[in-house]
Amino acid sequence: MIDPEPLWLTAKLALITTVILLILSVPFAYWLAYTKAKGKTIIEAIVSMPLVLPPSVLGFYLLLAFGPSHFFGKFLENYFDVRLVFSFAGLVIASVIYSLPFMVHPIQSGFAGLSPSLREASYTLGKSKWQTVTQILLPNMRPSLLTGIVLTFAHTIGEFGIVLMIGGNIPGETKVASIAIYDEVEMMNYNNANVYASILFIITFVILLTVYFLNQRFSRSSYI
Amino acid sequence: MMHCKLYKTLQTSQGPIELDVFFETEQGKLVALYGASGAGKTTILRMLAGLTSPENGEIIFENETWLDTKRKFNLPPQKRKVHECGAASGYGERGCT
Repeated sequence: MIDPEPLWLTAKLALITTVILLILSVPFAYWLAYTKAKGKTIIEAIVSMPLVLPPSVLGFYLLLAFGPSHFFGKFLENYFDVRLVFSFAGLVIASVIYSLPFMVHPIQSGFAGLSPSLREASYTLGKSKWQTVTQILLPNMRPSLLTGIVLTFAHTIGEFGIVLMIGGNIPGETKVASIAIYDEVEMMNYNNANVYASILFIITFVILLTVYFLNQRFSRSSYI
Repeated sequence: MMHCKLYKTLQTSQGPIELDVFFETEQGKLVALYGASGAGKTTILRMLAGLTSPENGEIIFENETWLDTKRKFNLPPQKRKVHECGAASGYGERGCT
């Protein structure tokens, strides 16, 4: 019988990462979509880095940064008594960085794809920027928001390399389902590995199926 | 009463053209803005609404300055209340034309 802890930990990690990224990405993507600042291209390239960078590279540098022998890790440990390596908090931060493009890109495309007249009409009708974003723009880009949320959630479920580098394999703390599969295979417990793997397989399939279904409904009810 | 003086260089397919307009309108008067395609009608209205900035100019509406490039003052679209001018019920009542 398999231990349900890694599955629960995976779901918790994916949920927390998705919520944090959603809160961070909406203002960030808004800025990227509408700014004319010169440094935009560099920032866009940095945001996209996790798409092409091997997870082990990112994990390695985060391991160095969070480690107590380097400035940032030492600072956190001395002043806040926080150690990010091999901890769940460290995993969350690593996941947020690693999944950043999966949330930012769809939302940025959503903002950029909206007709400028929507924003302009809202402004001339007296709505503030905040009201325009929350009441006009975001409700009109629900498919982009949904895509961002689901891609981030699914991507975090599938994380392996970065989790292994930053979190290691501590049961109940950093041993997520993808690590558990690897562990079971290492110990030749193919049956347990199969149970974990099939659960992840089904969850991701159901998530993606829901997205496509909802996106189809949104596009039917869209007025724009 | 609206006092409007606007200057802007527009980029068109035939090269740059200069949009240079000055007009004053009275309360209750109906004004038509007409011109050839690409003459700058939309741009004038966008500048009145605050959605496009002119290079030089000033807009004063009922003693309230909406735009004054010399003082680098430009009221945002939200504060201009252009929708009240466009609303049928308010037409002419607030000096809109």
